[in-house]
Amino acid sequence: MSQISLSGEPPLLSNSLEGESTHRICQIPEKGWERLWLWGTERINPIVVKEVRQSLKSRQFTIAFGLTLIAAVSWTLIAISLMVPKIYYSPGGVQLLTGFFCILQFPLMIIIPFSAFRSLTTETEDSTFELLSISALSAWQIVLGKMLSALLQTLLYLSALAPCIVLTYLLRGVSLDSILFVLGLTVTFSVAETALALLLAAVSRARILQAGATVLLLIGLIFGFFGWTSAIVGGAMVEISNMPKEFYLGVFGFATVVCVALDLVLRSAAAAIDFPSENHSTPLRKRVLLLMGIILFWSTFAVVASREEEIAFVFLIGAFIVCMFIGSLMTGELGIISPRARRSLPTTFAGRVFLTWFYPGAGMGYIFLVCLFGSLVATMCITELYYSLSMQLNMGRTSIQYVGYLLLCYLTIYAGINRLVMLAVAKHMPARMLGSVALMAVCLLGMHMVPLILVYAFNDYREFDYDWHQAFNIIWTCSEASEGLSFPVELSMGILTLASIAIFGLNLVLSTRDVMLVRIAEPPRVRAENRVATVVHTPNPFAD
Amino acid sequence: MIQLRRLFRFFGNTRAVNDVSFEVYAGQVFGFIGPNGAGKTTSMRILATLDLPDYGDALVDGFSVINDPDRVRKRLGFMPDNFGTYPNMNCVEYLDFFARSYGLVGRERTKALRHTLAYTGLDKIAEKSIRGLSKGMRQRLCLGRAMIHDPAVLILDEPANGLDPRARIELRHMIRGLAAEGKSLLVSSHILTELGEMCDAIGIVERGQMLVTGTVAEIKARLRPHIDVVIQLIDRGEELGKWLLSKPNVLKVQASDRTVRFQFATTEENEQAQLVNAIITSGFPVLEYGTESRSLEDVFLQITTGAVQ
Repeated sequence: MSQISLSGEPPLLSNSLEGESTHRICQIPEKGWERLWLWGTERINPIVVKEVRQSLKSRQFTIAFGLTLIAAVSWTLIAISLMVPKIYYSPGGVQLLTGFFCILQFPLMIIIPFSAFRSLTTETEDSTFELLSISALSAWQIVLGKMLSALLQTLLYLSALAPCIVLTYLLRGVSLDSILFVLGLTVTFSVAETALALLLAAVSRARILQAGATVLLLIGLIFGFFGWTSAIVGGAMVEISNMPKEFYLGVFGFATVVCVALDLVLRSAAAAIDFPSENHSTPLRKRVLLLMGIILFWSTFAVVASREEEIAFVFLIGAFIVCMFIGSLMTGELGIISPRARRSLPTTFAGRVFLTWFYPGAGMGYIFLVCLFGSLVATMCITELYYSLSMQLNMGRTSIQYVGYLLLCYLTIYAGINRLVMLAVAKHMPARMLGSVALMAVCLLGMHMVPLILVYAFNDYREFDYDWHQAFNIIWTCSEASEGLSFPVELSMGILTLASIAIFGLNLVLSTRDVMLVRIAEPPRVRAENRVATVVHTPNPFAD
Repeated sequence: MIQLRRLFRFFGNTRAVNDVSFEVYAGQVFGFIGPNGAGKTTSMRILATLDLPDYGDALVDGFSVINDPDRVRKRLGFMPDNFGTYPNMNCVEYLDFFARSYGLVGRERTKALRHTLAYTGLDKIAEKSIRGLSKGMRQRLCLGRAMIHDPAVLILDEPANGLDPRARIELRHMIRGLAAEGKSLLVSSHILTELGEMCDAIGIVERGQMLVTGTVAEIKARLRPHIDVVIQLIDRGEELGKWLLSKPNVLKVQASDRTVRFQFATTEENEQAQLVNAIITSGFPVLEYGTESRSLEDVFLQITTGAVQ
């Protein structure tokens, strides 16, 4: 019954009729199990409920799901008819499974990540993001909801192809372990792509950037799709039943790194869409610390277990790439610590000594990252040195100390320059984070290409040997240093050391203001509400 | 309930909000009036925690929109000018999603849904797809979304925009009903006659600056501290004119046999009543006594210059 009438005053909302809507959503169910179901669904992230209601009704999902099913059935019929009569006496599971994986990868590695990206960008385009952001949902709930709904779609696609995959097992030639391993890897890549797509959508919310971000993402997804499809067709469907224990340990190590990295990526996406005065930095830096700790643990473990020093190089270069990317994001942070963030600053002496690194702000982020990577390099070098002396590792010709030191210098210089430039950028610049990443890319490109082009030009476009003028070229300098020290490398190291000290020092001086900040008290209104919140008990939602 | 304290917001060289301060109390409807580009929407977006001021602060129920946006959001419902909907959903699903988003569960959620559907008159079309809704129904749906969690403060940016006359009247009743419950409402609109009828107080902004705030009567009195009076008589109009000239606060008398016009330099109702009583007791055959009131549009035109930035 409508309560709006042109004659007379409208009735009040409170103390008025509740309304007579008989829609099932407006009713509390009678039966016990239905109430239990409702209780459960109300605890699910509301974004997941919304996405299920919205996305699964969409034409795009219906078409993609239908096409996947048709492709799977068609491949089953075609492959089996091609394999007859050999299928009766020889195993044919691998060929059939390879086809199914190729079919499954299209939705998993292109459609789902792209849908997740579009799901977040469409919220901005349709002006619904503002409505979400002023609700009681946190930015983390929004991002997690999008991720979980993507996972739900993944499960639907997997369930659709499950009977076909079971059929391949029955056709022999492939073990259950192998099927689950490759399936797990495919799902992991899909989840990683989805998380990165959400991060890209979060940092490119300005409409002007969305077209570029869409193209960039599509290129990345297509590369990922063809790369992994080629790997499967080319023999990734290996038999893992007889693998040594170290293989499973490696898989476990990979899984831990992926889990922490995914958490970091999703938290970063949430931070990018959250209100600026919130302290996003401290939780993100704790996760970066955890990620680096895990990388250090597994690299040490791998070096000791395999007695191969090259593994440490792989981890070190991986950590450097991660740090450069994180550094470009961290230096894009606002250089201002909001009063809200200042409420949670440590007050004790120990707290100030050990937790200052986690303070928000681009300056502290830069110092935190450089110190963290420095600690990683130092620990790796000491560990390698210790084990090479005590366990006679295969030292080879390469030396991790020089490369580690050079990478530390590069991180200090490039992230430092980025921070100094971003310091001058306007506070309200749209897509600040993406701008910071773009700035890092431009800076890297410029510092690599300009000396190369100049020297080529001065050298009549003939090849030339490495020299000090290529000091800022990461790949060439590290490659030269890994061969051992030479005079040009020593000269480059000197240049890089001086540049690092200068840039780090300047950043350090500019960050002293942030270090000097002290905790401020919560406003009386906040304290009063917190006091009330501690004594109020949660009511029974069904008011029974 | 709402306090804006010296709010500034710049977009390059443009001062979208330039030192704006005002207060809205519980149970009050505050009309935010100004030409296009005056800074109304920017101020409202800052209050709704969708934007940050360059200087100053805004408080909702004592919580800062800059430092405690999470607490502000629980107390605030915002209906933007251009609001989005999810086209694959129906009305009840849309409201249910936002009820869940505000943490409503169990009976609390179903009660809020029933209340909102009934209050906005959407219960008959609860299962209709949002895609098929008219502009007026979409406005109702958006108002329902803004009030689903029973907030103490509602900010409505051009809520009557694009509505037909009947829907506007209904919206006005809804807004007055919400104020009667003790909610604070900040409403912006270009339809000044409507704001004049529904608002307890108004603020007029131009080029980011608050030009004047107060109740409509206060502002009118401040701009024009007299009233225009028209008296219709059977006859003896000219005699009444001469008689009025001897009375205090009476200015610019124009008299004919049946009509007398003059300015009464006070807005006090008691003095008006005494004058009317004196005219009647003096034996003048008065048929009608009336005052010529100024509309909010007149006030708006007098205060603003029409300049844009």
